[in-house]
Amino acid sequence: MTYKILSNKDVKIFEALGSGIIPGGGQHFEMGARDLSEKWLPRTDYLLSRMNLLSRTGMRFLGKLINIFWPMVYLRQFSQMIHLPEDELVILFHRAESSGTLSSALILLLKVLICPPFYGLKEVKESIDYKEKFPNPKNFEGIKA
Amino acid sequence: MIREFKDIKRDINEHADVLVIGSGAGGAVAAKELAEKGIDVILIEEGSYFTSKNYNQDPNDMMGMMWRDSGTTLALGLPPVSITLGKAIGGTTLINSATCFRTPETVIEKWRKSYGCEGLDYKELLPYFEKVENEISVTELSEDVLGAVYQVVKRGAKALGLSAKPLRHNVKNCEGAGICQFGCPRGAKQSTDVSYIPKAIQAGARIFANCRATKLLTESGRIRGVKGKVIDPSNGKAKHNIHITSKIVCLAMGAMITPAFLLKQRLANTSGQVGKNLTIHPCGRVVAEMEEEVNGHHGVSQGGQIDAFAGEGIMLEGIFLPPGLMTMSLPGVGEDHKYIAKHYKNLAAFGVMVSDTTRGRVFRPLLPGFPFSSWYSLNKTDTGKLKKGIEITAEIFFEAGAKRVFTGCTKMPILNSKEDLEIFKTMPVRAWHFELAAFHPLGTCRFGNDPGESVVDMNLESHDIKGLFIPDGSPFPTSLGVNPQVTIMAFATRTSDYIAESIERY
Ligand SMILES: Cc1cc2nc3c(=O)[nH]c(=O)nc-3n(C[C@H](O)[C@H](O)[C@H](O)COP(=O)(O)OP(=O)(O)OC[C@H]3O[C@@H](n4cnc5c(N)ncnc54)[C@H](O)[C@@H]3O)c2cc1C
Ligand code: SF4
Repeated sequence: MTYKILSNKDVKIFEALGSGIIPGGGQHFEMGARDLSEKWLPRTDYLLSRMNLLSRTGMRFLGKLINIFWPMVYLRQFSQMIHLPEDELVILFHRAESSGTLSSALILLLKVLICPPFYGLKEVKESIDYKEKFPNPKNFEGIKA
Repeated sequence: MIREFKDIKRDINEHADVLVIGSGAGGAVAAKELAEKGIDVILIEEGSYFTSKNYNQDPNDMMGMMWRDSGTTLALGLPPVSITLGKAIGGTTLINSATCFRTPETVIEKWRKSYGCEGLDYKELLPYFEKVENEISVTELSEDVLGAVYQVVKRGAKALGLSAKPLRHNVKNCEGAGICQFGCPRGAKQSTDVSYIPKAIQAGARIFANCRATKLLTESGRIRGVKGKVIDPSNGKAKHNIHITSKIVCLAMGAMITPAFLLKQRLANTSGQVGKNLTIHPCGRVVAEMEEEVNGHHGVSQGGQIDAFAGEGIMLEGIFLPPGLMTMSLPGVGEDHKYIAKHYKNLAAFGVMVSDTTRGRVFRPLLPGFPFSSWYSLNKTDTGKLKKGIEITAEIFFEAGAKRVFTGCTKMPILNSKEDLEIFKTMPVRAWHFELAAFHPLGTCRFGNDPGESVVDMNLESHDIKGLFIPDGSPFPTSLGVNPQVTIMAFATRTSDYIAESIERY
């Protein structure tokens, strides 16, 4: 898969962020972000591509910082976030979110690049029983630049 | 016809009597009103032209497509505030919630008495409100279209002796698809791209999309026109040059960009007020998990209001969002997050909008690629109002039977019971404990009769540059306490009347 904005490293970072926030399995619905990363990451890439250069560079840089520092700060581990198993990622983000520090705000920022891309997928909408009130217009021509 | 990037093959060199920059609530209205009076008008808009054929009800695609910078525009401060803006033919009206209010009479009075706006008369504005409401089809919707969240809130409010009322919307045949901020798939919302722009074209206005103004041309204190660039929307790169001369320019880029544009060029600022006095109506959002299925997405996203606290500067208004955005804004990761997503149908949400006394500021763009920089840090009074609004809304939801309530306050993000709410009420909080969003920037080129204190006069013409008008959200010297599109449109209509009457003098 080739992306307009995301590098291979960014892909791994956003995949890890996604699976820490929306892990697979559990009681509520089976699907997790990692299962569908090939589908939602291009949508994250699209959102980034429509930001100005500095914002998207900032977002990617933030991902890189988190990858290195958050495991150290919240798990006391000298491992990059992208190498952590899913259950540890969940613990990591839970601790970051409830820290009451800047990290809580950063989680919110990162969710912008994960939740709308993920929850707009057909299979995810089905698994949470979400359906738009009306189908898309029959004459839908596709999105436009 | 709207000329878009694909239709523009060479540099644009044109002349018009009036050049309008921006096609949102202010610009589109000015273009249509002036063109219908037989004036030769050109309108340029930086964003693209979309129709309901491009709307797929997917917030991810729609934010990328027509929200400026995918919705990441913000004001820095403690806390930073997201201030989303539209970038398209239709401007921010394309992504707004279609709620319509006239300017409150008390606000006009305040401007007249305390903000140097002597001569401004509410009665004189009434025909303009009526005209605008006709043009954009302001209607009262039926209860089923107003949606089930409205019913939940009505129930809770009643138990507390409060009354929830329906909001009025600018829609035609709205069926409550509930996705107004992401392009109305039914073509029901009467944003300016479907209401004013077609009429402007019919009256002979020439409309150019994907055209960014970069420089105002002035000569001896008079406006002469504008220079700009034709932008390739696929990569944001400038392709051709624009040079348009005109006797009059209507700058309607919105209250965040208009002042930054003027500051960058050191124009129209002998008062020193350009960019100052920014008000935004800071908003908090309260979400409740109900026992019952609410299906909040089946109905307009902003159905009802509670105005009982408007006198204190607190308006409660509906707001419901699709799952990606709703889950994004609620706390929780892992199983907690998945629980919320799975119970999306049980969620109800309502917004708290503060009529702010805080004043922020817009600066010239400090970083490349950003059209503005800005600072807004919520003051103590407004923080108190926000907290009170959240408490009232939480109480309403508990009365309506909520299992738990999400406050949007990091100090106590989840209230599991009324007892928790009592604890929340006594809790000291600071502004930065709130997740803030704002949708109504105003005030950054305020109007007034005194050139030493205001940027434009009561006709919205610059005190400094003859022929430069600012008919967008920038001139209003305080927040309105209500959603601003009708106010902006009414004043743009009034200014158009003035321009049409006096154009021979330019
Ligand atoms: C999510 C959301 C919901 C809202 N809901 C409501 C609501 O329910 N009711 C209500 O009354 N208000 C609502 N608003 C606010 C309302 O839509 C705005 O206040 C109003 O549209 C502002 O009008 P404006 O003319 O000042 O600017 P805009 O409508 O923002 O128009 C400015 C236009 O200028 C263009 N522009 C900027 N720079 C340039 C340049 N250099 N060259 C050319 N063009 C340029 C922009 O692309 C834009 O299209 C909402 C806003 C948002 C974001
Ligand atoms: S509620 Fe639906 S049909 Fe009505 S205006 Fe909004 S998006 Fe359009």
